[in-house]
Amino acid sequence: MITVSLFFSFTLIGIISFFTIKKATHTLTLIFLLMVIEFFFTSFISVIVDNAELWTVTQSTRYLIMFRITEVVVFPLLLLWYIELVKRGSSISKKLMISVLWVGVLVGVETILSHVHIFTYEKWKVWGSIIVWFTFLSFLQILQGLFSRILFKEGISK
Amino acid sequence: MTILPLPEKFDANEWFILFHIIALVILLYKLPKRFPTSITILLLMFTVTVARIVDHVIAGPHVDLYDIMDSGDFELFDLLCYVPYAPFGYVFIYLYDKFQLKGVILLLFIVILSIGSIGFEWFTGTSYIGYLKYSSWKPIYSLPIYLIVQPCTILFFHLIKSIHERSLSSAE
Repeated sequence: MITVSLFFSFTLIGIISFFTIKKATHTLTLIFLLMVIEFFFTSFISVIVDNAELWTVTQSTRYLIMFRITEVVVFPLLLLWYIELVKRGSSISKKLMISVLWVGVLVGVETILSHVHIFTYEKWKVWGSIIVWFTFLSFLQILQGLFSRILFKEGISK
Repeated sequence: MTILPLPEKFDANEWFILFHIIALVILLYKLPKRFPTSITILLLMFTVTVARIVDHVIAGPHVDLYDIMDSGDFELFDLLCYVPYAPFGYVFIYLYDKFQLKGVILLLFIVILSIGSIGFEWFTGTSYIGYLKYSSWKPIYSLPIYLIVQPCTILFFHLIKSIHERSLSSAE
């Protein structure tokens, strides 16, 4: 129960801190990206867990709830944090450093979840996660740019 | 190991999705433009995302109250099957905004559309379409979900509209 309690506490602190900071990214862009993340990340999990069976999710209800919260709340929140941090990065090298750091954070969270047996890697290696997260971050960067351009054309974003 | 299986048979449920994708394109092209592009995209995305999350949580393994398309696996057409939700949400808000629905009329609008959605859901689950395959779910169970999602769609619309308007006025 301590694990569950700590897990919920850290998730809530993450949510609260995201809403309290002043953001560099336009709110509509963040809403758009959140929906894209939810759609594609849950689809990715379905493919990895249900189809390819590269990960096995725990049968325990308590941990299954934690797994669902992680995929629907924790990872999307971490990805939005990434978008926000990259937007603040002044140069390309800084943005690249943030990207590398953030892939480390995402893989780290994934490893912790695997370590506490919320899910188990079956035929999956860490480099697979590194590739997936880099691809996902790049995809989000492209979408962020496209949506910001729409907002710019509508005259509501600089 | 199959990453994204193709349909077992290209039959009614696949045609049903393709028909809706075409209908969505025609709808967006033919309907007079009412909202800015960003708002339109967010409205289309909202219903798709809500449907995806709900399906993922209650139709995924472990819970598995129903299956979508041909099998319990996540097929290629499972990815596309969320597109039909987009025009429903968009038209719902389009009518709500165009006719400025309020009070009892709004209540009736939500209730009638929720009942209509159940009818549509039931139709998609029949052997003619075969889009949904129920295990321990019944269409009537979806009524409270529609009754929650539709007001949430309206709230979401007001939220993004107010953010858009505020941003526009602060940019001027």
